[in-house]
Amino acid sequence: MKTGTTVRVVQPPPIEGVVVERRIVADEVEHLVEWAEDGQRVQRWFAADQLEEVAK
Amino acid sequence: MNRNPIGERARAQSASAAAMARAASLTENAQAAGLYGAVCLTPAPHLLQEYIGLRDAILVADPVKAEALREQLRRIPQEVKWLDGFRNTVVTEGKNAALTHFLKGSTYTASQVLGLIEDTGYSAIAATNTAANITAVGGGSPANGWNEAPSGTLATRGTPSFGSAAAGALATSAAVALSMLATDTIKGAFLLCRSTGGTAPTTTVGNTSGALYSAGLFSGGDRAVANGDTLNVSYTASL
Repeated sequence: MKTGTTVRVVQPPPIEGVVVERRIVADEVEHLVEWAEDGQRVQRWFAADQLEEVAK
Repeated sequence: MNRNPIGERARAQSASAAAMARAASLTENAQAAGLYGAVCLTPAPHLLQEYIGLRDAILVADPVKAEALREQLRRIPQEVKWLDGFRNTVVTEGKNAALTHFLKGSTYTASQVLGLIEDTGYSAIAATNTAANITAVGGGSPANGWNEAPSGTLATRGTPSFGSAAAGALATSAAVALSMLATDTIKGAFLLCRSTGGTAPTTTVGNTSGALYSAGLFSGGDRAVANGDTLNVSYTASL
């Protein structure tokens, strides 16, 4: 690419999964989201403001 | 003008000025370290079978029903069997992954899992241990020098969440609750993170994806666990 070209950083698609558990920690609701990466099951806890519901 | 008495050490102001004059480096070191905490809980004997029944139902229930069952499970009183706090070895693979993602990452979502080390085939934890060498078959001479507790003891690895970093340390926001399914002898715990290449660890016991960040042994020695016990494990990482 030439100097001066307007670009954007290549990003992977946003993680999309299912909320499998919820809990309250320090007065904040956390959501355990489960999704698949390369066919493997991956999980992570997210705060509510890190997630948005996906329309079915 | 600073006057230093003859034969006395230079004052701090003089020493730093001298260091700058000869282009000496003033360094602040970062050393990766970590501390695990573990609490083993068990229901009162007369409630043990009810606890195990609810726990097993949660494992196969859909998320909505599982939430209701977990609420029932939480109401069963627990007793503390033992407590332990233990330091760990932050392994080279984990340091490399952390540095890569922190200083170079542009497409990174943090992801960690926590598992247990059992006693079968144990020899030592080493800085050269890797996720790729994790074994959970309970056999002798495991590649890492230790075996992961098998799925017959712990159905799935735990998923930690972390709070806010302060004073160079970051701790789990809540302990990871690991349900014991059988009698076993547990020696310690380990933490996996995304690999340098970005591959996430999984909750599947024995899976070798991701990078090994740290491993540690209970300071009080090997611990016996039984069906119905819950190990609540916390972790604090520091630099």
